Amino acid sequence: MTVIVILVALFALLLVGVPVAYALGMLGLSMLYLGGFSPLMAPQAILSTMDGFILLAVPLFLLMSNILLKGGVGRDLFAAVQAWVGHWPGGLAVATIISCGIFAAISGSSVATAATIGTVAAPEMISRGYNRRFVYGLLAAGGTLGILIPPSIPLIIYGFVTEESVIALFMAGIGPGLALIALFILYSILSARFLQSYTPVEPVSWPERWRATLRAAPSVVLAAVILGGIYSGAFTPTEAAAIGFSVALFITGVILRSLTWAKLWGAMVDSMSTTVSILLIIAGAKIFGKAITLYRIPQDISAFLSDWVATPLGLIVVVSVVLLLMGLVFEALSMVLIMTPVLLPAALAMHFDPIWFGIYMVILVECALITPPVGLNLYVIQSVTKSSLGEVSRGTLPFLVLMLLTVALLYLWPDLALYIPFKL
Amino acid sequence: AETTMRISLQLPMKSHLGQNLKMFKDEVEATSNGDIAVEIYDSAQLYKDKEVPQAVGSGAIEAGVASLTRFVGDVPMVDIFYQPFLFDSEEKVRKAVAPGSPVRGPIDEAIQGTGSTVLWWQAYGGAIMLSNGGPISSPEAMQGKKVRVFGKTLGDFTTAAGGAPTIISGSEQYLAYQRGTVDIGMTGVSGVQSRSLWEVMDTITVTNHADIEFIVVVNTDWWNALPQAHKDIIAAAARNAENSVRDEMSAIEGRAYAAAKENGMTIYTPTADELAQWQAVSQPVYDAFLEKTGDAGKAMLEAARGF
Amino acid sequence: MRLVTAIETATAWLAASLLTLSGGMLTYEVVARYFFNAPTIWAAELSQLCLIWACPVAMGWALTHRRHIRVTAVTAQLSPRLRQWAEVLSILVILVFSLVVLAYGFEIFFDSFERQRTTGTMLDMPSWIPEASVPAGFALLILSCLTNLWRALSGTLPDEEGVME
Ligand code: NA
Ligand code: NA
Repeated sequence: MTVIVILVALFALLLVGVPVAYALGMLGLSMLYLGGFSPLMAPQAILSTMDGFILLAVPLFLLMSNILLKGGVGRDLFAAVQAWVGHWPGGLAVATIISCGIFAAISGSSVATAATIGTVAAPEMISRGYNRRFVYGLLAAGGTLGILIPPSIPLIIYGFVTEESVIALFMAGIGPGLALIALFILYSILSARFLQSYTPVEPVSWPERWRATLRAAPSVVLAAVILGGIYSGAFTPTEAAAIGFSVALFITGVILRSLTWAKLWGAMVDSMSTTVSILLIIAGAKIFGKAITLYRIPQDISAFLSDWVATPLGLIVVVSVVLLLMGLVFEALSMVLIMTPVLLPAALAMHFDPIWFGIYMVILVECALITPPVGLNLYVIQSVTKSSLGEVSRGTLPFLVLMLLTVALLYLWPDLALYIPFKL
Repeated sequence: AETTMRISLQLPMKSHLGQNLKMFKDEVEATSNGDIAVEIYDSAQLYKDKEVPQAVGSGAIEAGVASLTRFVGDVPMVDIFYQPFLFDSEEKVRKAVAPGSPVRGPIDEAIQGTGSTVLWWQAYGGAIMLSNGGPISSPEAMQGKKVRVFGKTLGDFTTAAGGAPTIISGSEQYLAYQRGTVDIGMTGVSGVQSRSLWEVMDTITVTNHADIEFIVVVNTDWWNALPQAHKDIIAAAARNAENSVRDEMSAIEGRAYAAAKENGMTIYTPTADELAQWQAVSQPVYDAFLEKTGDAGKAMLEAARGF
Repeated sequence: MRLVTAIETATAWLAASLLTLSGGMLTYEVVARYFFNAPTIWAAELSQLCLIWACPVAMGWALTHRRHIRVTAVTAQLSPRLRQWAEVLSILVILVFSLVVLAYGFEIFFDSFERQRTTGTMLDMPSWIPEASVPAGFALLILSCLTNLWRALSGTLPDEEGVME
């Protein structure tokens, strides 16, 4: 009963248009007040959020990718990949996915990945006669790689909430990320071969290939430095973000000379703005989280799940359905923040690895990003391509199936995620 | 229940501190016939360790467990337990933590001034050093090495011994050792067992250079408003919990050392000569302590040296 | 109104600079540790302090420039009149929240200030320095709430700027 009242109140606040952060915060504060708990918990939760060293990685990764973005790196990247694989069957589609994968390795966000690659790849693919719906779906889904392949803002937040190692989470995202890229590529080639007609791209000359590659090389090197640095222990994720920011400045300001002062200032303000809204949501969710913990709601749900769902498979099926439904209307971060404290105890009781569970959650959050009515990547592709939400959503359907297939693979073979961090 | 006592804990229930709280809860709930309900919020569901002093002192929650050194911002004297090699045997530790002792007495009293009342102390064991490819037998072995520390005083000690301190959280410890972000680690030996650190480090040097204590504090206003009967029940259970964990501590550490050995770790105990070298480099840490704590700290230190 | 707008612009400028500064400090830290084996004791803490101050002070600016993540699926379908009332309601919620957090946040800050509590970290700075960011930020947010309430009541709503996550 309490749970239903809380859910109704939450929906009412959100639908009236109260920003997610304040809706969660106000609801949590009201619950604290009604339950006779101290409202001091609200400012304490806000301070505690801003005081998390790992969360400092959020603005810095944003700065890095925004600087690269303003420096036109997305265009260079796509041009280089296209020069190599553009003439394959479905070559532009393959180039799009690979570009999404590489950009994902320098950006922590799905929306930025979808927007960057979408802006350059969508017009190109459509002019070559690719099926529109396929293009929309491909870009919306390809963008979600941004949060599975490290760096990843949702993984940082999962690590912050659960006190698990962010480095391990980052490493664990690589395997499933590559699996997803492989599945997307396979589907693109098959779909191009059998389901649609398009004008093939002429192979590009070798000198042209090398020129395009050279221009894109710095950002690929940057991605490698960041991943390698984290993996080798040279720096923590937060420090990696700082290094990434400095190197991005160097690449766009000194090597490519594509960054102006105005663009730099734009990148700084955009990063600040996103950081403020993300950290406030985390703080709001923390207040809400304390309130539901004191009402013993996560504890009750966890007990309920372990009473009624007897097997690990059963748990994953139930949780996946809940997350998919929730993902229809919830935005990605709130999902991680609200559901992790509720679900993780039940998962740990069934001996799931907490790192594995984080990756599993992030793949389902990726699904949420491409399911209507609330899916940020749908909105991005819709605005980039000037199309309807319905058409973009229908296009994502086959990719949604591939993502659920990856979840199944991950369940059957947990090492898909855990091999790189713990066994390599 | 007439009274609800919520306790915030950073560690999971399965840790020995969690089990100790569970014992307290069971006793209180049984002897009060359910008049007092104890709710434990483990794994930092409500507060992280470092937030506990403020949360309990302000009355945002009734009770919490925090590492003693978390109170250093209010009570600089708590750092006596991190003065290198001051309490390097169980006997000395027991004398220091006895209720009302010249070391614990002034600390409990000073914490009272922060709005919290100390219910009981939970033993956590001594700090040891972890390394790869040989023990950290003397300060020479620490020269120029990067060292994982937890807290400022251990950092100062590391600097005094010629190492470079880096603060790394408990959760990032494993990978920091595996990837070589740091060369040497400081932790309690039970942490070696709970985090399987033998997979990434091969040597323990039993320095016992600091004594790690946790304390369970309650909000003073809440405590004073309790009926006397409830206070008595809680105080009695707290005393039992304190004695139990103190008595078990050497067995807990013994099991952790055995597990470490079983998993291939070398366990090295420094010789008297090596310990003297360690103590010789530690003087700046003591000087800083005296400078911060004045006469009260001086009296405490003298008492401790007499144990 | 114009004063509040100027304050908002200044806070945005400050917040963006603080975050960029933290990137510079942490880069220095890595270089110092990795190449000179001399980790600093200040970089991690001061860059954290940048985050602690940057976020709260820019809340008001973010509200006015509509940078917060919100669900617009329903409000977008409403008539202008209803949308205006939804906006008023939504600002009132933020205002109430801000007033409560301001009051209790000030209590936390003031307690540490009076007791001269320190953080007990490597730099051991006074605890009120980070803690003051919350009351300061929410006081600024209240100012922005009031001007936006006025805008909503007089029917001059700005367009959504949206936010990239
Ligand atoms: Na990424
Ligand atoms: Na969705």
